Amino acid sequence: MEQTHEHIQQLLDGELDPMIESALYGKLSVDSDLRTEMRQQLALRLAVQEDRALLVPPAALTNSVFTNLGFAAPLAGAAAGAAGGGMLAQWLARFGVPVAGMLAAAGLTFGVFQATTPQSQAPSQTSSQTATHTPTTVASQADHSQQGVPTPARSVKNSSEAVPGSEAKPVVVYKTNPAMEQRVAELERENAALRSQLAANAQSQNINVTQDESPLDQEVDRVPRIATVSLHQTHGVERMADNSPYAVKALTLMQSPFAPGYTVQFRGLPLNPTIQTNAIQQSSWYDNLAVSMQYNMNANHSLLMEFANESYPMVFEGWRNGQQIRYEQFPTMFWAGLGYRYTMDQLGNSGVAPYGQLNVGGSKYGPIGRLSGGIQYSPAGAISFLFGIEASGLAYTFQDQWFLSPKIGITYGMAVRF
Amino acid sequence: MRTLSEYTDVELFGLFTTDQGEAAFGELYARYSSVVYAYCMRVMGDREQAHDVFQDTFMKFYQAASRHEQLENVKGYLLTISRNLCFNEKKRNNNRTLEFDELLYNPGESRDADQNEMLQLVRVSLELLPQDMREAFVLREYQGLSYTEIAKVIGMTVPTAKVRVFRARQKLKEILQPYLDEQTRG
Repeated sequence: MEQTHEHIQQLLDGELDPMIESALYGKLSVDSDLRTEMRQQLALRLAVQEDRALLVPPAALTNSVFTNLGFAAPLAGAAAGAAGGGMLAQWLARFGVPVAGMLAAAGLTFGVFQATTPQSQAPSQTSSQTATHTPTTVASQADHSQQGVPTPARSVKNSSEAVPGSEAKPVVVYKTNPAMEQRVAELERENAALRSQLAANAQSQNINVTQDESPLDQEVDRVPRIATVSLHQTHGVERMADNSPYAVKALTLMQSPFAPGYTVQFRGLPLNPTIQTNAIQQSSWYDNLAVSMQYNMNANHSLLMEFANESYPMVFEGWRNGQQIRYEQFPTMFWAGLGYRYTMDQLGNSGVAPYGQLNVGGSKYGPIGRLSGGIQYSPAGAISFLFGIEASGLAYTFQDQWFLSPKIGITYGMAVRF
Repeated sequence: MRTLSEYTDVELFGLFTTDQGEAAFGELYARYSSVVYAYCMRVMGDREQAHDVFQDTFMKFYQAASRHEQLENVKGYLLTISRNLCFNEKKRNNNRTLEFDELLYNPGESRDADQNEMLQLVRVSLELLPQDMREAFVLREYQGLSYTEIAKVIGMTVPTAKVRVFRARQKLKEILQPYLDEQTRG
């Protein structure tokens, strides 16, 4: 009997000798016990096959294997990486999505900005101004004229020969915010007083001093300057015409953190996921940290490029061997993106300004969007701090189905302007 | 240019020591992780131990690239590593008592269908098999290895492998007989 059972197994394995096979069929046709034995062997094999189909390593275990080997977590990204061959394919698998996200975000941000910002008026300059103006000063003029702030531009014409050692330079005043305006008014009062003193001195020395309100783009001839002031930059106004009797006292102005320039910002992203997972979070010391390069186009509008390493929980379902399987993983991923920040005018003289920011970028798993709002505090100098709330979401696909991993929480950071 | 999915196992293993090592490992992992996992789970019986052995298997597999320039049978090599690790783990935990599947013996748990119950029974029955029979059975039924391949992995003759698989099947059938009788009657 045992031999017949063995033959049944060999038949089911497809390894039974054809000579024995026909004999076995003969026995099966007349023996119901043998037929039962065969059915049970088949049932056992089917059960084993079904059990086998369910045995798939959990995503957390897979992540653990790869993490222990120092590799990036697999799945969507790794699948692409595994399927790709060659350096380019691997590079694209890892950085292609972030780069594409950045480019898309750049185009979007540029388009929005172009559509919402009026064209700047090109500054006109005379040759003499060109020789003495810095680019910043020119930008200030354009911005100033755009805002229509009636800041008087002054030049002092000296009918006599210029004092040796002095050079012609117009007074440029740039309005940035109420505090600055106040400071401008103070300066103007000081300058008015100095001007009176100057006129008195000149009169006593028989020098004819006149004052006009000619615009900045007019040529200024051989004038000992009173003061050249650019309020959005830190610099002491150099003592002009030191050897002249018209010397003006030096001024030092506070730097504005909101004016054109570049800023490097570091911030933490301790956001909380809104979906639950039992997967173990991959972690390293630089997780959930972002660094950005920010270009402040003016006091209110900034463009920024941001990079970060951040964890997102990924919980999704898919099919494998006919079974629906739930996957959970908590990988850390590198992402890059572009953003736009709108900073409101600072609240009084507090140095605090509310801001709102929108980021669009990409990671190897999929696109990432972020929206944040908060306050930026700029006490003095080049350093400022920010604190706000932020919502972000990672979108990713698995088996042609989209999934979203949202997060929300606080963000904080420090920025250095240069 | 070929993608890595078109490479053979041997070629992929050869890439381990190159800058494509990570991607090559990922591809081989995708090919054989479920094979190794099934083996660990069904041979070890205990989920935690099986996971430990599974992880160690792939760690050792990747590290093996520094010792072997090439492998002829990657799947067999993986199963051999896994088998040795399972053996060591079993030896270490020799005195542990068998843990019954709580789901099977907990009447409060739902059982969706008879087939699910059958699967549970198969799993528990496997644990009741002697280790040598269970191993041969898993390699044959879960991994689909030929008797020659089983003989190679376990280190025995082909006829011995056949006998072990046959006996394992018979033993399992004996354990499950009441259930199978009921099922075949229905």
